Amino acid sequence: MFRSCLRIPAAASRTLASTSATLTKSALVTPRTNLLSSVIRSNGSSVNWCAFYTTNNSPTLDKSVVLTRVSNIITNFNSQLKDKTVTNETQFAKDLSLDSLDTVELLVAIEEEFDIEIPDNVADDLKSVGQTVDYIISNPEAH
Amino acid sequence: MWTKQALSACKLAYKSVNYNTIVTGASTRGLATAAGSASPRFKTFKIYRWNPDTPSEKPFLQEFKVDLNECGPMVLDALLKIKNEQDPTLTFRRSCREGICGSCAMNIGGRNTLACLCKIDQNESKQLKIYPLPHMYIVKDLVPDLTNFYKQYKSIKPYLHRDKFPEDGKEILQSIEDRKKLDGLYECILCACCSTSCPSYWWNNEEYLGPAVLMQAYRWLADSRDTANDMRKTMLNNSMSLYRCHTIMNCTRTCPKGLNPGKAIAHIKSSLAFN
Amino acid sequence: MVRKLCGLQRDVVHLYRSCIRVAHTKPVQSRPHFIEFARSEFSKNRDVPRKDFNTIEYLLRTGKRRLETYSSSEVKNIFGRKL
Repeated sequence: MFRSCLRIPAAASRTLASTSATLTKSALVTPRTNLLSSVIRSNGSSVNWCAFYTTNNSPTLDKSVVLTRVSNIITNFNSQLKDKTVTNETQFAKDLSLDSLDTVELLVAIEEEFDIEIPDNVADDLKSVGQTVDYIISNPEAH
Repeated sequence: MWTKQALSACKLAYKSVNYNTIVTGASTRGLATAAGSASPRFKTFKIYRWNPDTPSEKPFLQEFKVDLNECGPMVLDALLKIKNEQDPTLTFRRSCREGICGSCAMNIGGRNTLACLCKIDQNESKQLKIYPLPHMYIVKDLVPDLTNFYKQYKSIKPYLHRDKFPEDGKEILQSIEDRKKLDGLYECILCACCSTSCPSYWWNNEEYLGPAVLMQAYRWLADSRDTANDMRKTMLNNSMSLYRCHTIMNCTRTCPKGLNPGKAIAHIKSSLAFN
Repeated sequence: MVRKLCGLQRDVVHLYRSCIRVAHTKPVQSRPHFIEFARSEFSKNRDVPRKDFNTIEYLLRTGKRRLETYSSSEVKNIFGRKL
Protein backbone atom coordinates (compact mmCIF):
# COMPACT_ATOMS: atom_id res chain seq x y z
CA MET A 1 0.00 0.00 0.00
CA PHE A 2 2.70 2.37 1.15
CA ARG A 3 4.88 1.21 -1.71
CA SER A 4 2.33 1.89 -4.38
CA CYS A 5 1.67 5.36 -3.02
CA LEU A 6 5.31 6.17 -3.39
CA ARG A 7 5.53 4.70 -6.84
CA ILE A 8 2.92 6.90 -8.44
CA PRO A 9 4.80 10.20 -8.17
CA ALA A 10 7.95 8.36 -9.14
CA ALA A 11 6.40 7.15 -12.36
CA ALA A 12 4.89 10.55 -13.10
CA SER A 13 8.21 12.32 -12.89
CA ARG A 14 10.09 9.54 -14.67
CA THR A 15 9.89 11.15 -18.09
CA LEU A 16 11.04 14.46 -16.69
CA ALA A 17 13.87 12.79 -14.85
CA SER A 18 15.17 11.11 -17.95
CA THR A 19 15.38 14.42 -19.81
CA SER A 20 17.34 15.93 -16.98
CA ALA A 21 19.54 12.87 -16.64
CA THR A 22 22.20 14.22 -19.00
CA LEU A 23 22.24 17.45 -17.09
CA THR A 24 22.78 15.82 -13.72
CA LYS A 25 25.44 13.52 -15.08
CA SER A 26 27.54 16.38 -16.35
CA ALA A 27 27.04 18.08 -13.03
CA LEU A 28 29.33 15.48 -11.54
CA VAL A 29 32.17 16.73 -13.72
CA THR A 30 31.72 20.46 -13.73
CA PRO A 31 31.28 22.55 -10.61
CA ARG A 32 27.61 22.91 -9.90
CA THR A 33 27.32 26.67 -9.74
CA ASN A 34 29.04 27.04 -13.10
CA LEU A 35 26.69 24.63 -14.74
CA LEU A 36 23.65 26.28 -13.30
CA SER A 37 24.68 29.74 -14.42
CA SER A 38 25.73 28.50 -17.85
CA VAL A 39 22.34 26.95 -18.32
CA ILE A 40 20.67 30.20 -17.49
CA ARG A 41 23.04 32.20 -19.63
CA SER A 42 22.87 29.99 -22.68
CA ASN A 43 19.12 29.75 -22.65
CA GLY A 44 16.89 32.50 -21.34
CA SER A 45 13.82 30.26 -21.15
CA SER A 46 15.48 27.67 -18.94
CA VAL A 47 13.30 28.26 -15.91
CA ASN A 48 11.96 24.74 -16.20
CA TRP A 49 15.42 23.26 -16.25
CA CYS A 50 16.36 25.11 -13.11
CA ALA A 51 13.25 23.83 -11.43
CA PHE A 52 14.25 20.24 -12.03
CA TYR A 53 17.69 20.96 -10.99
CA THR A 54 16.68 22.15 -7.57
CA THR A 55 14.10 19.44 -6.97
CA ASN A 56 16.60 16.77 -7.89
CA ASN A 57 19.15 18.12 -5.49
CA SER A 58 16.96 19.05 -2.60
CA PRO A 59 17.10 16.36 0.07
CA THR A 60 13.68 14.90 -0.67
CA LEU A 61 14.94 11.44 0.23
CA ASP A 62 15.14 11.11 3.95
CA LYS A 63 17.48 8.43 5.27
CA SER A 64 14.83 6.79 7.40
CA VAL A 65 12.31 6.82 4.55
CA VAL A 66 14.84 5.15 2.25
CA LEU A 67 15.55 2.57 4.92
CA THR A 68 11.84 1.76 5.31
CA ARG A 69 11.40 1.41 1.57
CA VAL A 70 14.49 -0.80 1.30
CA SER A 71 13.41 -2.97 4.22
CA ASN A 72 9.95 -3.28 2.66
CA ILE A 73 11.53 -4.68 -0.47
CA ILE A 74 13.70 -7.04 1.53
CA THR A 75 10.83 -8.44 3.59
CA ASN A 76 8.77 -8.93 0.45
CA PHE A 77 11.71 -10.49 -1.40
CA ASN A 78 11.02 -14.07 -0.37
CA SER A 79 9.30 -16.07 2.33
CA GLN A 80 12.43 -16.61 4.41
CA LEU A 81 12.93 -12.89 4.86
CA LYS A 82 9.34 -12.12 5.85
CA ASP A 83 9.94 -11.62 9.56
CA LYS A 84 13.46 -10.21 9.45
CA THR A 85 14.09 -6.85 11.04
CA VAL A 86 16.20 -4.75 8.75
CA THR A 87 18.58 -2.12 10.05
CA ASN A 88 21.43 -0.19 8.50
CA GLU A 89 23.85 -2.76 9.86
CA THR A 90 22.11 -5.72 8.21
CA GLN A 91 24.43 -7.52 5.83
CA PHE A 92 22.98 -9.28 2.79
CA ALA A 93 25.15 -12.37 2.96
CA LYS A 94 25.62 -12.78 6.70
CA ASP A 95 22.34 -11.65 8.22
CA LEU A 96 19.90 -12.34 5.41
CA SER A 97 21.83 -15.44 4.20
CA LEU A 98 21.51 -14.37 0.58
CA ASP A 99 24.02 -15.75 -1.92
CA SER A 100 25.68 -13.53 -4.52
CA LEU A 101 22.91 -14.14 -7.06
CA ASP A 102 20.15 -13.36 -4.53
CA THR A 103 21.94 -10.14 -3.69
CA VAL A 104 21.96 -9.20 -7.36
CA GLU A 105 18.22 -9.85 -7.63
CA LEU A 106 17.56 -7.82 -4.50
CA LEU A 107 19.63 -4.89 -5.73
CA VAL A 108 17.84 -4.87 -9.06
CA ALA A 109 14.51 -4.83 -7.19
CA ILE A 110 15.80 -1.86 -5.19
CA GLU A 111 16.92 -0.17 -8.42
CA GLU A 112 13.38 -0.50 -9.74
CA GLU A 113 11.87 0.94 -6.59
CA PHE A 114 14.05 4.07 -6.71
CA ASP A 115 14.11 4.26 -10.51
CA ILE A 116 17.89 4.25 -10.73
CA GLU A 117 20.52 2.01 -12.20
CA ILE A 118 23.38 1.11 -9.88
CA PRO A 119 26.57 0.73 -11.96
CA ASP A 120 28.19 -2.70 -11.80
CA ASN A 121 31.33 -1.54 -10.02
CA VAL A 122 29.31 0.16 -7.29
CA ALA A 123 26.85 -2.69 -6.91
CA ASP A 124 29.71 -5.17 -6.44
CA ASP A 125 30.73 -3.40 -3.25
CA LEU A 126 27.27 -3.00 -1.72
CA LYS A 127 27.29 -5.58 1.03
CA SER A 128 24.94 -4.14 3.61
CA VAL A 129 21.67 -2.26 3.85
CA GLY A 130 23.46 0.81 5.21
CA GLN A 131 25.79 1.03 2.21
CA THR A 132 22.86 0.68 -0.14
CA VAL A 133 20.86 3.38 1.61
CA ASP A 134 23.86 5.70 1.52
CA TYR A 135 24.30 5.10 -2.18
CA ILE A 136 20.63 5.78 -2.92
CA ILE A 137 20.79 9.05 -1.02
CA SER A 138 23.98 10.06 -2.83
CA ASN A 139 22.35 9.35 -6.21
CA PRO A 140 20.60 12.53 -7.39
CA GLU A 141 18.35 10.57 -9.75
CA ALA A 142 16.82 8.47 -6.99
CA HIS A 143 13.29 9.26 -5.95
CA MET B 1 8.85 -61.47 -84.95
CA TRP B 2 12.26 -60.89 -86.41
CA THR B 3 12.26 -57.28 -85.52
CA LYS B 4 11.26 -58.06 -81.98
CA GLN B 5 14.16 -60.45 -81.53
CA ALA B 6 16.63 -58.08 -83.04
CA LEU B 7 15.35 -55.36 -80.80
CA SER B 8 15.75 -57.40 -77.65
CA ALA B 9 19.24 -58.46 -78.72
CA CYS B 10 20.12 -54.86 -79.21
CA LYS B 11 18.74 -54.01 -75.80
CA LEU B 12 20.78 -56.75 -74.21
CA ALA B 13 23.94 -55.57 -75.94
CA TYR B 14 23.24 -52.03 -74.86
CA LYS B 15 22.62 -53.13 -71.32
CA SER B 16 25.83 -55.12 -71.09
CA VAL B 17 27.90 -52.28 -72.51
CA ASN B 18 26.36 -49.90 -70.07
CA TYR B 19 27.00 -52.32 -67.26
CA ASN B 20 30.63 -52.67 -68.26
CA THR B 21 31.27 -48.97 -68.25
CA ILE B 22 29.73 -48.63 -64.83
CA VAL B 23 31.91 -51.40 -63.44
CA THR B 24 35.12 -50.03 -64.89
CA GLY B 25 34.13 -46.57 -63.85
CA ALA B 26 33.66 -47.65 -60.28
CA SER B 27 36.88 -49.63 -60.15
CA THR B 28 39.05 -46.81 -61.41
CA ARG B 29 37.37 -44.36 -59.13
CA GLY B 30 37.52 -46.46 -56.01
CA LEU B 31 41.06 -47.67 -56.43
CA ALA B 32 43.74 -45.11 -56.90
CA THR B 33 46.52 -47.65 -57.41
CA ALA B 34 47.12 -49.60 -60.60
CA ALA B 35 47.30 -52.85 -58.66
CA GLY B 36 43.51 -53.17 -58.63
CA SER B 37 42.65 -55.07 -55.44
CA ALA B 38 45.53 -53.55 -53.52
CA SER B 39 45.97 -53.99 -49.80
CA PRO B 40 44.37 -51.16 -47.80
CA ARG B 41 46.49 -48.07 -47.30
CA PHE B 42 45.57 -46.69 -43.90
CA LYS B 43 46.45 -43.08 -43.21
CA THR B 44 46.08 -41.60 -39.75
CA PHE B 45 44.07 -38.40 -39.35
CA LYS B 46 44.42 -36.58 -36.05
CA ILE B 47 41.42 -34.37 -35.57
CA TYR B 48 40.75 -31.70 -32.93
CA ARG B 49 37.78 -32.59 -30.77
CA TRP B 50 35.97 -30.48 -28.24
CA ASN B 51 32.42 -30.87 -27.02
CA PRO B 52 30.55 -27.85 -25.64
CA ASP B 53 28.26 -30.09 -23.62
CA THR B 54 31.18 -30.97 -21.38
CA PRO B 55 32.99 -27.63 -21.34
CA SER B 56 35.35 -28.54 -18.51
CA GLU B 57 36.84 -31.43 -20.50
CA LYS B 58 39.92 -30.25 -22.32
CA PRO B 59 40.06 -30.40 -26.13
CA PHE B 60 42.08 -33.32 -27.51
CA LEU B 61 43.27 -34.84 -30.78
CA GLN B 62 41.44 -37.97 -31.83
CA GLU B 63 43.02 -40.44 -34.22
CA PHE B 64 41.09 -41.91 -37.13
CA LYS B 65 42.49 -44.38 -39.65
CA VAL B 66 41.16 -44.09 -43.19
CA ASP B 67 41.89 -46.45 -46.09
CA LEU B 68 43.01 -44.13 -48.87
CA ASN B 69 42.01 -46.76 -51.46
CA GLU B 70 38.43 -46.36 -50.36
CA CYS B 71 38.46 -42.60 -50.01
CA GLY B 72 38.11 -39.64 -52.35
CA PRO B 73 41.14 -37.43 -52.97
CA MET B 74 40.30 -34.43 -50.81
CA VAL B 75 40.50 -33.90 -47.07
CA LEU B 76 36.77 -33.18 -47.01
CA ASP B 77 36.17 -36.66 -48.47
CA ALA B 78 38.15 -38.17 -45.61
CA LEU B 79 36.23 -36.12 -43.04
CA LEU B 80 32.89 -37.17 -44.50
CA LYS B 81 34.06 -40.80 -44.58
CA ILE B 82 35.03 -40.62 -40.93
CA LYS B 83 31.71 -39.01 -40.04
CA ASN B 84 29.77 -41.61 -42.05
CA GLU B 85 31.61 -44.72 -40.97
CA GLN B 86 33.47 -44.13 -37.74
CA ASP B 87 32.13 -41.27 -35.63
CA PRO B 88 28.90 -39.47 -36.49
CA THR B 89 29.53 -36.95 -33.70
CA LEU B 90 32.47 -35.42 -35.57
CA THR B 91 31.30 -31.89 -36.34
CA PHE B 92 32.40 -29.59 -39.15
CA ARG B 93 30.85 -27.19 -41.64
CA ARG B 94 30.66 -28.12 -45.28
CA SER B 95 28.41 -27.35 -48.16
CA CYS B 96 29.44 -27.00 -51.79
CA ARG B 97 32.49 -29.34 -51.82
CA GLU B 98 34.02 -27.26 -54.63
CA GLY B 99 35.59 -24.24 -52.99
CA ILE B 100 32.86 -21.70 -53.60
CA CYS B 101 30.97 -21.54 -50.30
CA GLY B 102 33.87 -21.19 -47.87
CA SER B 103 32.21 -23.32 -45.20
CA CYS B 104 34.91 -25.94 -44.71
CA ALA B 105 37.76 -23.57 -43.84
CA MET B 106 40.03 -25.21 -41.26
CA ASN B 107 43.65 -25.64 -40.35
CA ILE B 108 44.95 -28.69 -42.22
CA GLY B 109 48.55 -29.75 -41.73
CA GLY B 110 49.35 -26.36 -40.24
CA ARG B 111 47.83 -24.30 -43.05
CA ASN B 112 44.47 -22.57 -43.15
CA THR B 113 42.64 -23.80 -46.19
CA LEU B 114 39.40 -25.26 -47.45
CA ALA B 115 39.05 -29.00 -46.77
CA CYS B 116 37.31 -29.43 -50.12
CA LEU B 117 40.23 -27.95 -52.08
CA CYS B 118 43.02 -29.61 -50.10
CA LYS B 119 44.34 -32.89 -51.49
CA ILE B 120 45.23 -35.66 -49.07
CA ASP B 121 48.97 -36.34 -49.09
CA GLN B 122 49.01 -39.90 -50.45
CA ASN B 123 51.99 -40.83 -48.31
CA GLU B 124 50.20 -42.92 -45.69
CA SER B 125 53.18 -43.04 -43.33
CA LYS B 126 52.61 -39.36 -42.54
CA GLN B 127 49.85 -38.34 -40.14
CA LEU B 128 47.59 -35.43 -41.01
CA LYS B 129 46.53 -33.06 -38.26
CA ILE B 130 43.31 -31.12 -38.65
CA TYR B 131 42.44 -28.22 -36.35
CA PRO B 132 39.75 -25.56 -36.53
CA LEU B 133 40.76 -22.06 -37.69
CA PRO B 134 43.29 -20.82 -35.14
CA HIS B 135 42.57 -18.27 -32.41
CA MET B 136 38.84 -18.45 -32.83
CA TYR B 137 36.28 -19.38 -30.22
CA ILE B 138 35.07 -22.87 -30.93
CA VAL B 139 31.44 -23.87 -31.21
CA LYS B 140 32.25 -27.56 -31.48
CA ASP B 141 35.10 -29.71 -32.89
CA LEU B 142 36.10 -28.02 -36.17
CA VAL B 143 33.40 -25.34 -36.12
CA PRO B 144 34.67 -21.86 -35.20
CA ASP B 145 32.47 -19.02 -34.01
CA LEU B 146 32.54 -16.46 -36.84
CA THR B 147 30.11 -13.97 -35.28
CA ASN B 148 32.76 -11.32 -34.80
CA PHE B 149 34.08 -11.83 -38.33
CA TYR B 150 30.64 -11.31 -39.85
CA LYS B 151 29.98 -8.35 -37.57
CA GLN B 152 33.17 -6.72 -38.83
CA TYR B 153 32.17 -7.45 -42.42
CA LYS B 154 28.84 -5.78 -41.78
CA SER B 155 30.61 -2.76 -40.25
CA ILE B 156 32.28 -1.82 -43.56
CA LYS B 157 28.87 -1.53 -45.24
CA PRO B 158 29.63 -3.97 -48.05
CA TYR B 159 27.07 -2.69 -50.52
CA LEU B 160 26.79 0.04 -53.13
CA HIS B 161 26.46 3.58 -51.81
CA ARG B 162 25.26 6.11 -54.32
CA ASP B 163 23.25 9.35 -54.25
CA LYS B 164 22.05 9.40 -57.84
CA PHE B 165 20.95 6.51 -59.97
CA PRO B 166 20.64 6.54 -63.77
CA GLU B 167 17.42 8.22 -64.83
CA ASP B 168 16.55 5.49 -67.30
CA GLY B 169 16.32 3.08 -64.38
CA LYS B 170 18.87 0.77 -65.92
CA GLU B 171 22.22 -0.45 -64.64
CA ILE B 172 25.04 1.88 -63.67
CA LEU B 173 27.56 1.64 -66.47
CA GLN B 174 31.22 0.98 -65.89
CA SER B 175 34.17 1.00 -68.29
CA ILE B 176 36.06 -2.21 -68.96
CA GLU B 177 39.12 -0.77 -67.21
CA ASP B 178 37.09 0.12 -64.13
CA ARG B 179 35.57 -3.33 -64.03
CA LYS B 180 39.04 -4.84 -64.26
CA LYS B 181 39.97 -3.12 -61.00
CA LEU B 182 37.58 -5.44 -59.18
CA ASP B 183 39.23 -8.62 -60.42
CA GLY B 184 41.04 -10.39 -57.64
CA LEU B 185 38.76 -8.70 -55.08
CA TYR B 186 35.24 -9.80 -55.82
CA GLU B 187 36.16 -13.50 -55.89
CA CYS B 188 36.65 -13.60 -52.12
CA ILE B 189 34.30 -16.13 -50.50
CA LEU B 190 34.82 -14.90 -46.92
CA CYS B 191 36.09 -18.24 -45.63
CA ALA B 192 38.17 -16.38 -42.99
CA CYS B 193 41.31 -18.41 -43.76
CA CYS B 194 43.37 -15.24 -44.22
CA SER B 195 42.07 -13.31 -41.23
CA THR B 196 42.64 -16.24 -38.88
CA SER B 197 46.19 -16.73 -40.19
CA CYS B 198 47.10 -13.14 -39.38
CA PRO B 199 49.01 -12.65 -36.09
CA SER B 200 47.79 -9.07 -35.86
CA TYR B 201 44.24 -10.34 -36.09
CA TRP B 202 44.96 -12.96 -33.41
CA TRP B 203 45.95 -10.30 -30.91
CA ASN B 204 43.46 -7.57 -31.86
CA ASN B 205 40.49 -9.32 -33.41
CA GLU B 206 38.01 -6.98 -31.71
CA GLU B 207 39.34 -3.80 -33.26
CA TYR B 208 41.53 -4.77 -36.22
CA LEU B 209 39.31 -5.68 -39.16
CA GLY B 210 41.63 -8.32 -40.61
CA PRO B 211 42.66 -9.00 -44.22
CA ALA B 212 39.41 -10.53 -45.51
CA VAL B 213 37.24 -7.62 -44.39
CA LEU B 214 39.81 -5.02 -45.43
CA MET B 215 40.01 -6.52 -48.89
CA GLN B 216 36.25 -6.16 -49.16
CA ALA B 217 36.54 -2.59 -47.88
CA TYR B 218 38.96 -2.00 -50.75
CA ARG B 219 36.65 -3.76 -53.18
CA TRP B 220 34.07 -1.03 -52.52
CA LEU B 221 36.65 1.75 -52.49
CA ALA B 222 37.90 0.60 -55.88
CA ASP B 223 34.44 0.35 -57.40
CA SER B 224 33.88 3.23 -59.83
CA ARG B 225 30.13 3.08 -59.21
CA ASP B 226 30.43 3.64 -55.46
CA THR B 227 30.40 7.29 -54.39
CA ALA B 228 30.94 6.91 -50.64
CA ASN B 229 34.75 6.82 -50.82
CA ASP B 230 35.21 9.55 -48.23
CA MET B 231 32.89 7.89 -45.76
CA ARG B 232 34.66 4.57 -46.23
CA LYS B 233 38.08 6.14 -45.83
CA THR B 234 37.24 8.04 -42.65
CA MET B 235 35.87 4.82 -41.21
CA LEU B 236 39.24 3.10 -41.72
CA ASN B 237 41.42 6.05 -40.79
CA ASN B 238 42.27 5.17 -37.18
CA SER B 239 45.07 3.30 -35.50
CA MET B 240 43.23 -0.01 -35.13
CA SER B 241 40.89 -0.82 -38.04
CA LEU B 242 43.52 -0.77 -40.80
CA TYR B 243 46.94 0.08 -39.44
CA ARG B 244 47.32 -3.07 -37.34
CA CYS B 245 48.38 -4.64 -40.63
CA HIS B 246 52.16 -4.94 -40.53
CA THR B 247 52.50 -6.54 -43.96
CA ILE B 248 53.17 -10.00 -42.55
CA MET B 249 51.52 -11.43 -45.68
CA ASN B 250 50.31 -14.66 -44.10
CA CYS B 251 46.96 -13.76 -45.63
CA THR B 252 48.20 -13.91 -49.20
CA ARG B 253 50.21 -17.05 -48.56
CA THR B 254 47.24 -18.95 -47.15
CA CYS B 255 44.35 -17.77 -49.37
CA PRO B 256 42.77 -20.93 -50.84
CA LYS B 257 41.39 -18.89 -53.73
CA GLY B 258 44.81 -17.48 -54.65
CA LEU B 259 43.81 -13.88 -53.93
CA ASN B 260 46.06 -11.19 -52.50
CA PRO B 261 44.53 -9.42 -49.48
CA GLY B 262 47.95 -8.03 -48.52
CA LYS B 263 48.08 -6.07 -51.75
CA ALA B 264 44.55 -4.77 -51.30
CA ILE B 265 45.47 -3.49 -47.83
CA ALA B 266 48.58 -1.83 -49.28
CA HIS B 267 46.34 -0.08 -51.82
CA ILE B 268 44.08 1.24 -49.05
CA LYS B 269 47.10 2.46 -47.09
CA SER B 270 48.52 4.33 -50.06
CA SER B 271 45.18 5.85 -50.99
CA LEU B 272 44.85 7.13 -47.40
CA ALA B 273 48.43 8.40 -47.38
CA PHE B 274 48.00 10.41 -50.59
CA ASN B 275 44.53 11.63 -49.74
CA MET C 1 33.40 -9.97 6.13
CA VAL C 2 32.44 -11.45 2.79
CA ARG C 3 35.31 -12.63 0.62
CA LYS C 4 36.10 -10.28 -2.24
CA LEU C 5 35.16 -11.63 -5.65
CA CYS C 6 37.85 -12.21 -8.23
CA GLY C 7 37.61 -10.70 -11.73
CA LEU C 8 35.93 -13.63 -13.34
CA GLN C 9 33.44 -14.02 -10.50
CA ARG C 10 32.57 -10.36 -10.91
CA ASP C 11 31.93 -11.00 -14.58
CA VAL C 12 29.58 -13.82 -13.67
CA VAL C 13 27.71 -11.59 -11.23
CA HIS C 14 27.54 -8.83 -13.85
CA LEU C 15 26.10 -11.26 -16.37
CA TYR C 16 23.52 -12.36 -13.83
CA ARG C 17 22.66 -8.74 -13.13
CA SER C 18 22.14 -8.12 -16.86
CA CYS C 19 19.90 -11.19 -16.95
CA ILE C 20 17.78 -9.89 -14.07
CA ARG C 21 17.60 -6.43 -15.64
CA VAL C 22 16.42 -7.97 -18.90
CA ALA C 23 13.87 -10.00 -16.94
CA HIS C 24 12.51 -6.74 -15.54
CA THR C 25 11.86 -5.46 -19.07
CA LYS C 26 9.54 -8.40 -19.75
CA PRO C 27 5.77 -8.50 -19.14
CA VAL C 28 5.06 -8.58 -15.40
CA GLN C 29 3.42 -12.00 -15.35
CA SER C 30 6.35 -13.71 -17.06
CA ARG C 31 9.09 -12.00 -15.07
CA PRO C 32 9.32 -14.75 -12.44
CA HIS C 33 9.78 -17.27 -15.24
CA PHE C 34 12.73 -15.33 -16.65
CA ILE C 35 14.32 -14.95 -13.24
CA GLU C 36 13.78 -18.59 -12.41
CA PHE C 37 15.20 -19.62 -15.78
CA ALA C 38 18.31 -17.47 -15.37
CA ARG C 39 18.79 -18.85 -11.91
CA SER C 40 18.46 -22.47 -13.00
CA GLU C 41 20.89 -21.93 -15.88
CA PHE C 42 23.43 -20.44 -13.50
CA SER C 43 22.92 -23.18 -10.92
CA LYS C 44 23.65 -25.85 -13.53
CA ASN C 45 27.25 -24.72 -13.50
CA ARG C 46 27.50 -23.99 -9.79
CA ASP C 47 30.12 -26.72 -9.35
CA VAL C 48 32.60 -25.50 -11.95
CA PRO C 49 35.89 -25.02 -10.07
CA ARG C 50 36.85 -21.42 -9.42
CA LYS C 51 40.19 -21.88 -11.18
CA ASP C 52 38.77 -23.46 -14.34
CA PHE C 53 39.07 -20.23 -16.31
CA ASN C 54 38.56 -21.74 -19.75
CA THR C 55 35.25 -23.27 -18.84
CA ILE C 56 34.01 -20.19 -17.03
CA GLU C 57 35.02 -17.94 -19.90
CA TYR C 58 33.27 -20.24 -22.34
CA LEU C 59 30.12 -20.27 -20.24
CA LEU C 60 30.22 -16.49 -19.91
CA ARG C 61 30.51 -16.13 -23.68
CA THR C 62 27.64 -18.44 -24.47
CA GLY C 63 25.66 -16.90 -21.63
CA LYS C 64 26.08 -13.43 -23.12
CA ARG C 65 25.09 -14.76 -26.51
CA ARG C 66 21.93 -16.37 -25.13
CA LEU C 67 21.06 -13.28 -23.13
CA GLU C 68 21.26 -11.28 -26.37
CA THR C 69 18.77 -13.68 -27.92
CA TYR C 70 16.35 -13.55 -25.00
CA SER C 71 16.65 -9.74 -24.71
CA SER C 72 14.64 -9.30 -27.89
CA SER C 73 11.30 -7.72 -27.12
CA GLU C 74 9.63 -10.47 -29.13
CA VAL C 75 10.55 -12.99 -26.46
CA LYS C 76 7.63 -12.61 -24.09
CA ASN C 77 7.88 -15.67 -21.90
CA ILE C 78 10.22 -18.51 -21.14
CA PHE C 79 9.93 -22.01 -19.71
CA GLY C 80 13.00 -23.91 -18.59
CA ARG C 81 13.42 -27.56 -17.83
CA LYS C 82 13.37 -28.33 -14.16
CA LEU C 83 16.64 -29.72 -12.84
